[in-house]
Amino acid sequence: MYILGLGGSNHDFSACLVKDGEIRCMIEDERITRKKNGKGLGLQLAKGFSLNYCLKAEGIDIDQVDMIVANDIINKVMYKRLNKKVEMMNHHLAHAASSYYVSQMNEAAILVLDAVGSKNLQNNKYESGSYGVGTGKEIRFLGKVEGYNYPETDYVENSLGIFYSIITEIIGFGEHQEGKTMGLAPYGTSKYYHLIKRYIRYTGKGQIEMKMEDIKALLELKKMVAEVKGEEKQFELKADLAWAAQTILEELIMDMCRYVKVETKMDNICLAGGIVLNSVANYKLYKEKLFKNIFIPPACGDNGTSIGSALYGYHCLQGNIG
Amino acid sequence: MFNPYNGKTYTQEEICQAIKRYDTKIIAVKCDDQYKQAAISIAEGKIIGWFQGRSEGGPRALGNRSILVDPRNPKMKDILNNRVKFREAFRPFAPSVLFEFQQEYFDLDIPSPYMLMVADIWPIKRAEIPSVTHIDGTGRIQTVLKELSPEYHQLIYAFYERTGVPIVLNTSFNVNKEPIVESPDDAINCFLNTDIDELYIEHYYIKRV
Repeated sequence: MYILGLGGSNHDFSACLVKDGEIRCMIEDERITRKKNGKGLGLQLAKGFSLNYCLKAEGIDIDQVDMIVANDIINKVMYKRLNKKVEMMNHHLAHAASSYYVSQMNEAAILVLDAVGSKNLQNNKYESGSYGVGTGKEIRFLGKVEGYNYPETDYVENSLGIFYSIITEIIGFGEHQEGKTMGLAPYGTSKYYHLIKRYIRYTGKGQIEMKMEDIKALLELKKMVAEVKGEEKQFELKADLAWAAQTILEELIMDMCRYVKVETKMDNICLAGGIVLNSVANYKLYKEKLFKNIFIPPACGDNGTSIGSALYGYHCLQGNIG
Repeated sequence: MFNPYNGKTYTQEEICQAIKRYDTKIIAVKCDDQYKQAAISIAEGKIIGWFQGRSEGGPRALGNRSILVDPRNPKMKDILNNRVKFREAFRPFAPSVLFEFQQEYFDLDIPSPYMLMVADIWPIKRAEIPSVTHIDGTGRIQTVLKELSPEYHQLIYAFYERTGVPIVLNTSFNVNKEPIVESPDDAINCFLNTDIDELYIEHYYIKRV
């Protein structure tokens, strides 16, 4: 039985082909199209670069695929030319599956942290954090961090990923360049820690708070960066901002992890979502020894949701075939 | 341990065809032992393009589509930036270490096979591997496990035999702002458009005409 997972959101598109529960092939569109993060392809995306690559590698036809699964915030262009039904699943569930099902653990706490995931249609909020447990083949979420969209922007309240992206933007790095902020942080000092800390906080019970007014106040910091002249002074300021963002991010991730530990009492944890590309924070979690085993998959960002979607289809959606 | 190398397999024939397409610009020689030969070149300070097996999924190059250099040379970061990568000077480059030796260099007792932990390098070891030691004495470590990455393990082992250091500097096989190379054609193209010294595709050693 073949299951095809499609991955991505508005970036980092990918496909993963699973045969009887085993990954046969996985590739990101960017590797084929040569456009980083799969950006700027527009309707070209409909050509199915990654999915055709996987089918060809396996020597099969799309008609031989028993089920196609994708997460519900993937750009529709990714599957619009397919004359087949596509099973839709929650974005964070796809992340969770991409970590838990490949971890080879029989039970684990699960924590997904990113910038923005699926919209909750009951309250119109967007998820940016999800935690729960995996036991056997089942994944169950126990709680979420959600927030409203900041009108006419891509920002979302209460989102750790958005917080880190905003600081990255203020520093002057581009989209998907949060890794530069992480690399810059150790050159900085605690100068702006207390200033920035005012705009995002852990409020207990696995909840992060960063309101619209906090986002607005953070964006105001752009002026401060613009006012500082001279290369050396600029570098210092940016490094100090990066230091603050990195330190605060680590603290908030640890708050979330401690809560997840108390709620789940698990020895193992599986992490996923763009935030866990922050390898400095991951090491802090290791040093805390909260969990005996930590699993983080290599494609922990949106590129990995193809793996999560395909494996979730195999383990949990087989009843939908036919 | 989850295998991250899930790209397609390029056949011998596909690789030969790719080499042929560039035969006015490159010379390809089959080597007896590409691991030893590449290890010698790295130890001599050369910049190596390393293409082996199936490509890795996710943003980190894990030794199948990597550019590799000597981590012992303190100038290597600048050399790599000036000749190939063109990244901001403050950004660190990552170490790939053989699992067997990891704890001699890093304060980390679990494998980090996907380069997703930045671990402390023991203070006495930092001067030994300056080009992969960040300003705060850390390195974004990739643990190289024999069962997961046998070819890459063999290469680093050959480097260790020659130098006594079980670590290479590993950066993704691409130029700044481009995705990691996928096919042999991509690899040859990237090689020809940069100042990489030598390219290894499976057991082919490739140099410019």
